[in-house]
Amino acid sequence: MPEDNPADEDVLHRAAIDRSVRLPVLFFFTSAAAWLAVSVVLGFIQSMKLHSPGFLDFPCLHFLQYGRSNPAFMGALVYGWAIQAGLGVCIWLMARLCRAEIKNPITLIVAGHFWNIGVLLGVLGIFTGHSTSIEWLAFPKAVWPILFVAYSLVVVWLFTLFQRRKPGEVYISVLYILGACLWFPWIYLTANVFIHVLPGSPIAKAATSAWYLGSMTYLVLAPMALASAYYFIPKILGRPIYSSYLSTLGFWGLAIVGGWTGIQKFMGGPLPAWMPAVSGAAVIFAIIPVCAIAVNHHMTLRGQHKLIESSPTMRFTAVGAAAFTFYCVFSALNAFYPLGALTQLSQTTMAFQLLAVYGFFSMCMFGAIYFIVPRLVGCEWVSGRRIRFHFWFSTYGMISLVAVHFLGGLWQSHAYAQFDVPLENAISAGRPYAIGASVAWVFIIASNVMFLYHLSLMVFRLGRKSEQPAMIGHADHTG
Amino acid sequence: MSDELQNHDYEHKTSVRDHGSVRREKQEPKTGLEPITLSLVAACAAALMIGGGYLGAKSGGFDFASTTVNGYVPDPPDIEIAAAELSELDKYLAGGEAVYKATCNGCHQVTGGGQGQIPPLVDAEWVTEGTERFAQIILNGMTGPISVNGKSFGSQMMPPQKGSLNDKQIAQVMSFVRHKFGGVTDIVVTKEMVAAAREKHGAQANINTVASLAAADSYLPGEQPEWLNPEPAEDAAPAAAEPEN
Ligand code: HEC
Repeated sequence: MPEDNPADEDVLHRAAIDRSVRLPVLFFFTSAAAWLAVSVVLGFIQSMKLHSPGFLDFPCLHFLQYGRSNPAFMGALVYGWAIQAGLGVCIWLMARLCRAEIKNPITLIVAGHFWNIGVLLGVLGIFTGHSTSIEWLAFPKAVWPILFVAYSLVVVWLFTLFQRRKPGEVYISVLYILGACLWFPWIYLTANVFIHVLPGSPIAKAATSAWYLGSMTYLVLAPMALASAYYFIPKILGRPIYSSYLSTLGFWGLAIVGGWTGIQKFMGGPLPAWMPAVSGAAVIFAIIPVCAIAVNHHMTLRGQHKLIESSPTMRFTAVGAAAFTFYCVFSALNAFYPLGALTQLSQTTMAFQLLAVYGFFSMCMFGAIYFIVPRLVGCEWVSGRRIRFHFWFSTYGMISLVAVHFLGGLWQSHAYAQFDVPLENAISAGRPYAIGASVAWVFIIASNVMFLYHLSLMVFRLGRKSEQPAMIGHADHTG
Repeated sequence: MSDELQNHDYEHKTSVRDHGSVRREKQEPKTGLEPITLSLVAACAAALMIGGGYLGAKSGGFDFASTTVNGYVPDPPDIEIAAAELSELDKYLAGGEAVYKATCNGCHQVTGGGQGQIPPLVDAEWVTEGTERFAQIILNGMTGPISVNGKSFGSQMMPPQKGSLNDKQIAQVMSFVRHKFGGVTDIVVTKEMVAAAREKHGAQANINTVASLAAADSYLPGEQPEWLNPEPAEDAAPAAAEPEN
């Protein structure tokens, strides 16, 4: 056993903190994982429906048509899985980093229940045909106040916890968590008000919706995932993060440009030209914080890249962080006309959203969950093999999904741009790729069913009672 | 159940040994103070410049009215779109169609087929034959028993239109109805003809009955317009052009 350990007191204190957040964090993790399972199944179904509408075409399953299964899938993925997993991780990190045991987990549990009820109503609403058909805001109009209030409760709770922090450095992860806390209610409220409550011109609605997608990615998903990466990379290495200047640059850079992104999607559209231009510039400027973050992580890891091999947390986090960098660089390239025109209105949208939600966000969350859960339930992950299975199937599934949708989208857009051939050609041009995507979905389903199963074993305390963590390679450190 | 057991364990045996995973882990992360490297500064500067240039080039001067940016909208290949050339006659009839839609549609229906006690216009002798009585019907309305295409109508009234339509509108709608529903396609009714009808019947106070209408062969006097093909005959144009039967 490596005993590079601080005083026993410290250990007991951390254990006490973990114990105090156990219920809410496990609640968020398990419901998130359940939603993830639902959403990947829906993801597969909507993907099948895209190229073979006859799939599962029974009268009693009419609600699985593409027009409903697609928004239901996205809703379950983003609100059911992503935000809930993010909140779970944020709560745990916040308690650890504020070095404070928490007093009032009931608020969180109540908020969590409301959130789940909201998502459930939303998904059922979509299935019964009440979708608003706006990307990522497809839940029926009545649902957003529930989600808004539930999230705000968690925010208030996290801020109270922050107020009670023990003296000491405010670590960079805390900043990201506070950021995600404040930005989500702001973005969510603004988008819903301008789309559902006080709708302006349809063009303004479209712009708001595009802005919502961009801001959600840059200001909510990214900060949550980065909070986790910033914590776990130095934690597992046992060395400080490389440079506080880079951390600060990365955080504030993202904070400044994040809220301007999104509308570049409509470049060349009937909007005032400056709107897509500002968003395009914002995703280009975002390269600055992204570089800072990537360099910071990379330099922290220097010489220790072998750890990525063995520690599950490290491995998921590294892939997630790499996907983040890739996503941002790619978005910036996309802001330029020749590429942007080809990726605007086709399957590539799906590639981008999956890269963000699954590729970088979820991977970071998986990493965090693999670290946190053993500390909450007091037993170890049952087997490294299962974790490895989850990792490889997720990674390969995600890469092929993104690649297939991206290439398919390019091909499709190219066909759209042919003025003198029938539109049908463009649709059939995307078809082989859509079929490929369905195959990739099978991988993702497999990996996440395994994950859900493994997590349930842990939650029901069926894990290994062992001193030895579940490792996926050979190394003598903690994971 | 097992939840409580676990808690129980924690509370009563808080020795370090029980917290395997927590004990194993390294200290909480801290922040180092390495400086930002020069190459990163350079990369940032490059991103700033590219982004700034992008903004300048595409923002269209932050003008709300400017929506297109050079190069964004691809030039469509040269496809000749033949603008449909409307003849004078088409335009004239289109004007009539507009009047019909605004005024007559609600009763006689878009098809001209009528409904219930409202008689049809399609192939009706009141439409195809003498233009004077047609103009009278529009100017002063119509009531009382009337037989159209062999069927009898009479329980409803058609209101006078002389107050709401001017001569040109009446002329156009008559031409349109005659072309579309009556199959009379070689001549039109002009506004001069309607003016003559108004001159003669405009002061009439009562709504028409069949008895107050002019004879079936009474055509309004006036020339066919120059743009109409074939060129109309010289003097008593309408009467001459209309085959007498
Ligand atoms: C308020 C409903 C109404 C409107 C509007 C109306 N009509 Fe009539 N129209 C009638 C009715 C009812 C009769 C039959 C009157 C009768 O029974 O004596 C009739 C009769 C006629 C007739 C004679 C019978 C036939 O069907 O051939 C003509 C021609 C005619 N309308 C043309 C027009 C034209 C042209 C317009 C538009 C400028 C028009 N009407 C607008 C209700 C209407």
